[in-house]
Amino acid sequence: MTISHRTRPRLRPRTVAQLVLLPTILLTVIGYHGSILWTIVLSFTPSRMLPVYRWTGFDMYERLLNTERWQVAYQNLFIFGGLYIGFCLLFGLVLAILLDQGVKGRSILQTIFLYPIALSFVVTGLAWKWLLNPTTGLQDFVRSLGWENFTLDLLSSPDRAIYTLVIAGVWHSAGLTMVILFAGLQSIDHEIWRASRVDGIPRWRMYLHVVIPMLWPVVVTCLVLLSMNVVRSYELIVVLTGGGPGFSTDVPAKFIIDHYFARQSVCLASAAETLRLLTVAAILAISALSRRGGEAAT
Amino acid sequence: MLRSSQAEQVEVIHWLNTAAESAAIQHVADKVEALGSTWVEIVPPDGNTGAQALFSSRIGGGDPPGAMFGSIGKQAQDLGEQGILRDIRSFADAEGLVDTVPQFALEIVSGPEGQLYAVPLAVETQNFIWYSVPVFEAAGLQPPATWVEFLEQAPALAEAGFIPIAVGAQGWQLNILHFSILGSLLGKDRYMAFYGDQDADVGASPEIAESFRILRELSLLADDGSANRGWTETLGLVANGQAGIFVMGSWAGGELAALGHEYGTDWGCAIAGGDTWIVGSTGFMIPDLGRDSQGQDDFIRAQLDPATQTAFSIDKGSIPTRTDADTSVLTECSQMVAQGMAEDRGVANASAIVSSDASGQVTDLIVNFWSNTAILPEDAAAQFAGIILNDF
Amino acid sequence: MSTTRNSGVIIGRIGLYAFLITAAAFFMIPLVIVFLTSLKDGVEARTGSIFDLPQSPDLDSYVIAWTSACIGRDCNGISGRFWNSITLTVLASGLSLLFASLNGFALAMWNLRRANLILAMLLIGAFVPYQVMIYPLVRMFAIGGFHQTLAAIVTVHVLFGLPILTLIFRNFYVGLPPELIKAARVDGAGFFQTWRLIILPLSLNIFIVAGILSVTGVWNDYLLGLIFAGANWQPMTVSVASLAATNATGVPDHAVNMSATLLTALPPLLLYLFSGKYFVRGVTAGAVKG
Repeated sequence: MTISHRTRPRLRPRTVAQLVLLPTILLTVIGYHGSILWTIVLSFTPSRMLPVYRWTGFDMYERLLNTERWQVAYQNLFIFGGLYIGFCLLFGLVLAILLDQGVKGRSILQTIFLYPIALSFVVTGLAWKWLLNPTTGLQDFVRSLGWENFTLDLLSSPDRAIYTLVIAGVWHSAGLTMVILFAGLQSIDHEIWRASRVDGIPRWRMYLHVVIPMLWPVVVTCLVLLSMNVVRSYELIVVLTGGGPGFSTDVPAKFIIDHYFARQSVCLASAAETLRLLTVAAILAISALSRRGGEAAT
Repeated sequence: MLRSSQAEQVEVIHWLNTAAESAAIQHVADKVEALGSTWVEIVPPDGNTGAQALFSSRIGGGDPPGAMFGSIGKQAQDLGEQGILRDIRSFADAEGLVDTVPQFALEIVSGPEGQLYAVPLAVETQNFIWYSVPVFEAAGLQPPATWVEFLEQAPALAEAGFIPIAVGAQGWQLNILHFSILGSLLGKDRYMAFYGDQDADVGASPEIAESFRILRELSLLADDGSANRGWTETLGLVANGQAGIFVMGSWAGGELAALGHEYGTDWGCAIAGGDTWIVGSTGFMIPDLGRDSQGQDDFIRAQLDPATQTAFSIDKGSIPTRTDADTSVLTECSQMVAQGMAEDRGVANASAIVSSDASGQVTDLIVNFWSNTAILPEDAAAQFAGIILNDF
Repeated sequence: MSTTRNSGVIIGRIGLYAFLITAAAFFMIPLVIVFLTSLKDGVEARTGSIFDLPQSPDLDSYVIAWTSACIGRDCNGISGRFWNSITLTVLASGLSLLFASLNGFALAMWNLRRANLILAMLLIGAFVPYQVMIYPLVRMFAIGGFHQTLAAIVTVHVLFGLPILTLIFRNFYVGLPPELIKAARVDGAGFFQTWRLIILPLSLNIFIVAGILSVTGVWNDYLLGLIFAGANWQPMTVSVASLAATNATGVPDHAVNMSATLLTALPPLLLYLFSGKYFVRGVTAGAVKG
């Protein structure tokens, strides 16, 4: 293909552009779409460790929906996802706005805020597991400083353990959100600030009513990157909480992988994966529609 | 027997990677090499999950490994029937390798016509209590003989500043704790009737609910750090004299010895199930390679070599599956098991009898019950019995 | 009036820096803790508080982890597979970036029909947890006859990296002025010539953004390496994950485990630290268009 533009008769560049996409399209269709289709097929079979192709209908879906662990895992997708994305955006935005105030040492601070993205979720989980361990971590340290009643016992409580995942996740990704939002702030026309000064509008109102709405396209980029992490989150949970206490911090990815391999219930795992993909597809479709609607309105 | 000039290799998947475990498996590797084959091992991360992922993808890719480690049982039967594993019965019989292996250890990995799909290497007792001698001395107590007795002692242990029971609140660890309690309440025969024959009368008996009541009381005694704590760390609490007891399989004894702690002065052992000794068979499933393999044959010979089994068990804390292997050199705790096995007190552990799927469901039920105090023991018991009775 | 306003500004400034420094501490503390622990010996690491300074800091555990820790029978540390990891990462990240850049260019600047559909099809891949794709991919590679080879593991990494990397490049190229390629086309330049002579020189920063994300992903993976790479191309992370460091008396040595983990985390971190400036610039250049 690389020689195609030298050989005669020459291909039109647009045709070359289409040809360039071909390997990726093939890889996507065979790799991703093939795997997805195969997963959907298996969810209607009684496959255990290895696939068998015998139709059993919706049995696995029925079982799945009656499984408490799946219900918890599915809810956690939204709880963890909502909090993680929300706090990453909020924290990232605050940091980006503050850094945009002509701060000294900006590039050092940016480096510090951003470095966790170069670490894996395994290392992230490990570091926070130590910090949040009630007997040897932060709680113990603060108590040894004199605050005897200080309690930071998130990991061992089924109701609060999910927040440890949010803390560690935000630590890992808030820097990336910060950089992307900062880039968005930088691209905003500086004229608006002069105009606002002339009109005597306070800076915070400018941010709230003018600047932040202008950041929407950049926020969408953040949303894509962050929701990818949410849907695929597995390592962080395994290392930090193991899905516990109980199965209070389980997520669909962990549920699926446990059943796919250790429990040799490929059929149940496939049904769970199908539901998870449907959820993702539904969210993508809704956001695409609302975006189209939004564009039509403007 | 003819040997090709180039040593044949056998590829072994296992995840024996703690101090005691890796020392133990090296004896088998040494024996394989001494027999003239090359030992190639793959030690996948994430223990069982990583190994299963590797194993099923190797089979799916048409390139099965020579052997796959595990607590062998129902999975071997299942895969054997699907034609994935090699029937080693005739080979083993021809060389007299399994003549002295107890029937129960062979049955749980045999097909309906006597096919044998896995090699039992060692018997692991699942329901040991490991206790700290100094902790009980400091509290002025004797190690408990029953669960009721332990629950009476617990306040005194806590008052003396100790964690009464060290628990690693991970699914499989809590599972061991639960069936240890259940075994002690049901006794050997009714335990087997429940798991093996799926006897509905036992499923409805009050002992099942009682096992969950005891589990609930234990959950209230555990320390804050127990969430998602690995078994070696949890064992460390007993080894370092911070906790009274820890319920864990015989491999914990191997680990305590490997850590340099003295039996008798630092720690001791007892059976958590009263007279019911819940045992598992540790060994290797033997995939069908679709060809003769000298390496795989040597591997099977090494596994069933009495001296190798003894050496393995000394380090691992288990006992050999061959009853003619020397047990006099084993630790005190292991000798106790060997004695119990000779008296026919052993019953197979639940996970060897029920499917991975069902034991997974039980694990989910138990971890949830452990951390969610709102669940009533009676409800958990009913669900639990339902899972076991409805397993295929 | 003006003095109160000035003091208000000063207080605001102090608050601003206080918040930023607190945030910096939040981001730094976990790394500091992990690093301090790795300098302790086994007993210290297990018994003391994680905030204690190491009593006799040394790099012994790093040396052991690198050269002599045991994985099963193999007691040569984790260094043996270092070059495997490097080769894998260079090949997989290099190919991913090349394809992603070409794809992004094709999707963004050539007004292709259904470009958005192709992008959407690709992006679905970003939401599939790769673990459930293992078995089907294994079957495909086995049928294709290259299961458990370097080609297999590189293909897998390229496949998993392409969706997000393509999106990053495409978003960057969408922001470039279309006149750039119009001029080139008037001069008779083809697709690849335009890409090489005009687009590539403009893409340095965005290559760094995509490169860091790609390298971090490929380098840190162990499950895919374990399954697809075969015995000869296992990455270093597999060694680290299955490492059971024990000292001479058989006591598990957490410091060695920690050191091994840190050593493996180092290459992407260094790459980031040396090119972080360009990373920020790249994001600034490329992320603005949603």
